[in-house]
Amino acid sequence: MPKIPCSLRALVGKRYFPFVTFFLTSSHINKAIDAIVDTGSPYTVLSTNEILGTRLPIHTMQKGETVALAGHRFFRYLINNVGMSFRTETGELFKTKLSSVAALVPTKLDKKTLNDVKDIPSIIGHDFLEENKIAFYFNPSAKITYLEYDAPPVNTLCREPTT
Amino acid sequence: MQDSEILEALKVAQEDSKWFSEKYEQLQTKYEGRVLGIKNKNIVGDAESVEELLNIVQKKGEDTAYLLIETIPAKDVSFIL
Repeated sequence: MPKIPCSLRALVGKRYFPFVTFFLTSSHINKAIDAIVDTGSPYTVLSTNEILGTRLPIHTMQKGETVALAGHRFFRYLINNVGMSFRTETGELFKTKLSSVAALVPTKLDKKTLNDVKDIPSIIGHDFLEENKIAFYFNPSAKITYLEYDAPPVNTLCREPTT
Repeated sequence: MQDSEILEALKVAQEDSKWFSEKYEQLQTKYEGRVLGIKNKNIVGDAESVEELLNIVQKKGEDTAYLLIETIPAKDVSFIL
């Protein structure tokens, strides 16, 4: 089955955490993003840092449901009609289109809060895995991790040229 | 963006992410608490905040769409997401 490679990062206490890289496209955003794969998260979210990195006016994005994460409160601001693209281990593009993806916008936007939340990463959550029929393999002791999908994606349109 | 452009950007970003993961402990000593911009397996800028980082990398002519933005938390900070 086709695989999307993830990388392992020893973030805390030398424990390995799985990260995957994707490219987000929307009417206002074109950006490469690194996200932690967290099956315990019900939501896929873009971090506050990634939103700040787009220079979109974050103060106008304090809308939506509120969620608590890592001791902070955020609005789940929905960015509509987004594409998320991944590169498979064989150099193909795995593309998905979502009606929306949420951005983590702190309920407070003062300097201290923005500094406090800057280490919270973007998250690929349970919703994304389920909706796109993606499995997640994580073997930290063997340092192996990847995403895997059952069928070729509908939107596999592009393959790297062979040299 | 064309699919070929996205694929090329992803190839670079994936390699940068892998490089950052592999070098994480080494980079942690130097960049603890900083926000980093990474491209082509290089730190192209580091700053206290994303806003400051963008100002630095844009002065260098970097396209932020192709830049990975990463942070290195302080060593005494743990997260249970």
